[in-house]
Amino acid sequence: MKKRRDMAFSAFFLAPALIVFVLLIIIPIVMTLEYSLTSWRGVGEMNFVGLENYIKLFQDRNYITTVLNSFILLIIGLVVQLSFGMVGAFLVSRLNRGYKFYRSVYYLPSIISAAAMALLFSIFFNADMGPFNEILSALGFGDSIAGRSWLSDSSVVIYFVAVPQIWQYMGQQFIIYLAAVQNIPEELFESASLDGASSAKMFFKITVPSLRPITSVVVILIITGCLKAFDYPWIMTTGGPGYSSSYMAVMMYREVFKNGHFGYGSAVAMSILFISLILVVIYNQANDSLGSEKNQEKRARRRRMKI
Amino acid sequence: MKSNKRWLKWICLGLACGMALSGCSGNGDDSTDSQGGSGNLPVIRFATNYMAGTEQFHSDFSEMVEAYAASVKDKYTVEFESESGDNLRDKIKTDLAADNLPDCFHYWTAGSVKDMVDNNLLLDIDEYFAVSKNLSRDNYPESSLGVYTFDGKTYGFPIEGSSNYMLYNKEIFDEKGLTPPTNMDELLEVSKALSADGIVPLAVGSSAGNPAHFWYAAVFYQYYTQEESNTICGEQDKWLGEDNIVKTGNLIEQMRDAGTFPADTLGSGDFAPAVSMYNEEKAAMIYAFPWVIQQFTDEIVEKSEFMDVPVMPDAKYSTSDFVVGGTNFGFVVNAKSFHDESKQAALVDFVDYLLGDEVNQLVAESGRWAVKIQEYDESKLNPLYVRAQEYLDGREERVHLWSNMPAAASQEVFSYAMDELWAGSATVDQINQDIQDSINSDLS
Repeated sequence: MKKRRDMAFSAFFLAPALIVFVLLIIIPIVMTLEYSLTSWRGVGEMNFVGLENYIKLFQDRNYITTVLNSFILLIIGLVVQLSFGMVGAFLVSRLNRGYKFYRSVYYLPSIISAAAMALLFSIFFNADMGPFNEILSALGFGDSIAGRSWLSDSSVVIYFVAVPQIWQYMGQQFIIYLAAVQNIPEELFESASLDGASSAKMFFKITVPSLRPITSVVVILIITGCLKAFDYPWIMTTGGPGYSSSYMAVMMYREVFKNGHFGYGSAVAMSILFISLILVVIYNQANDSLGSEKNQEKRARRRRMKI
Repeated sequence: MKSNKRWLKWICLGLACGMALSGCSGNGDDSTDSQGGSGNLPVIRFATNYMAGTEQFHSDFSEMVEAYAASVKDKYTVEFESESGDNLRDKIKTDLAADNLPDCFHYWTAGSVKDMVDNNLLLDIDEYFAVSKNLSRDNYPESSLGVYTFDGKTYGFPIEGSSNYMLYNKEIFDEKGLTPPTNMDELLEVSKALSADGIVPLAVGSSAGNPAHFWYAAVFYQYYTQEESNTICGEQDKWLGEDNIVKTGNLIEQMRDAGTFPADTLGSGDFAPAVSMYNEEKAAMIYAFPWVIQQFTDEIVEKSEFMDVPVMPDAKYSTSDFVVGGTNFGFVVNAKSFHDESKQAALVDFVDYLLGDEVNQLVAESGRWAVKIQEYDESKLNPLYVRAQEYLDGREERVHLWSNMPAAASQEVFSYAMDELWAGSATVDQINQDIQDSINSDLS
């Protein structure tokens, strides 16, 4: 009786969040899935077309471009944000002085509006009016580098749209790792130091393994953040020229709100969800496999053989 | 101890309920509701992009219309839904999908409203004129009404024309010992000379097609009449096979390669950056439009002269005989709202005011090409606007291609194709194929 009452009490407090989750997340996903199976233009009848939109996606070179662009952002994000977050957090945690200063400075870009940042960088990289090319010229680069139109050059524009976004959110991963590093027992570092371990060795042998659980969280945040990225390319280049700086979310927006292809755009939206889920599942499986007892024993045996 | 825990649970429960209920209480003032309507007064939802922006026009329009709404607050309530520039299109598309169109709204013409017309969402304005005390069909030129006319019925009130004009900075040309180009060869020569000195010859970039697609039309119409353009844009499989369309693309490529346009065509695209570049004398020429007239500084207007678009090789039609433009913006009424007897009178009163002489005079004063037939107080009109009207007087109007596209999707594909053409990221053949595919798709 008491157990039932406790459960009812818990359910009562969980209910509002669950209702909001169902109303704002689950129902829109189901509706988007429904729209993705139609050729709806936002007005008039919804004609059911089955998987036609999904088949069209894989034949659409613009969609393939946006998927590749999203993966470029993801790879840069994983490499840069993970490494900066981990290394930066480790180094800052070792500081005796200036810890709070570095913590604030590295986190500062994250709190600035993404729209303002994107506008700033679009002016910064502007070949006609921005300072970036002038800086390159002052550094001695010739016209072939310092005279390039980075935002209009379809071969490189994606990097110039991705890098500011990666830079802005590096601070977020840094803060997460900093909190995690501070929870690593200091005695581990002290005893390693007494044994003569260098900072690099302490980082790779103590910090990195200890941060594995939090790295799972950070990786999932980076995956989901990169795959739904929209604001930077939209403000800097509206995803152009063509689709060369568009991510999947930009394509979704253009198809739905610019072209009026609600059905096709919904299929793009669902593909973002499916790809995110697949990547997260793959990562979790790989992570679990790496962390499993069997694999840990294998690695320990290899280390002993090396010694 | 147990009873204390039980009391604590009930107190927490009570607090939670109290907080939840206090969050739900009251009607929550709608931030767009200027009047705080009450009782059974009809509510008119009005969406516009005339109230959002940094121009004097935006604040003057807001002040004027809000004052009127306040004066009629005992009869009906006006809810303003404001978006800036092209964002209004996105907003209306969202409202459309949610079956929640405003009662009346500013909107673009022709292909932009096709879907709404096909689904009987917009009012036939002849029904409106039948009940309006202040407006009639005679207030609008038939050519302007044509952009909202489908199968003999007209579904919108035209407000703005988009007559394009070209300016050059006389001072820059005099300093460099150059004369404004009159043909393609001279344009390429002048471009090379100016860009060698770090001056952008022509401030026409392309960001989501703006303002590039207007310049593209200025070249295109040297080879095609309006009727031919209507056929090419309005029928399947007409765009791709046209030699002069390929020629138009190739000419743009030549201009691009000669440095005629800003180097960063995307970064320096769109209307405001182009005007800014021209105002700061970083560009020697500009291809401009009525809605940017207020953005030119007095200093640059003093130094500027009008010129015709340079004549292209083998052009059939002289650029001094036509002007690219056409009515591209206006006002539409939700048919369902009009037929709602409880709000028809209020809607008619408000729309009569919005389209009346006083508001239209303000539109004209902002430099926008007001198409309504009425007496305008010319002493209050922007001097550059007056000069432009004089310069372009008597020229045949050719509707710019974006407006001529059959529906929203092909309009967008055409716009983004211009980005690619200007940036050189796609070939002319690829661009033309994309445009043809989208026209065919919209017409199927």
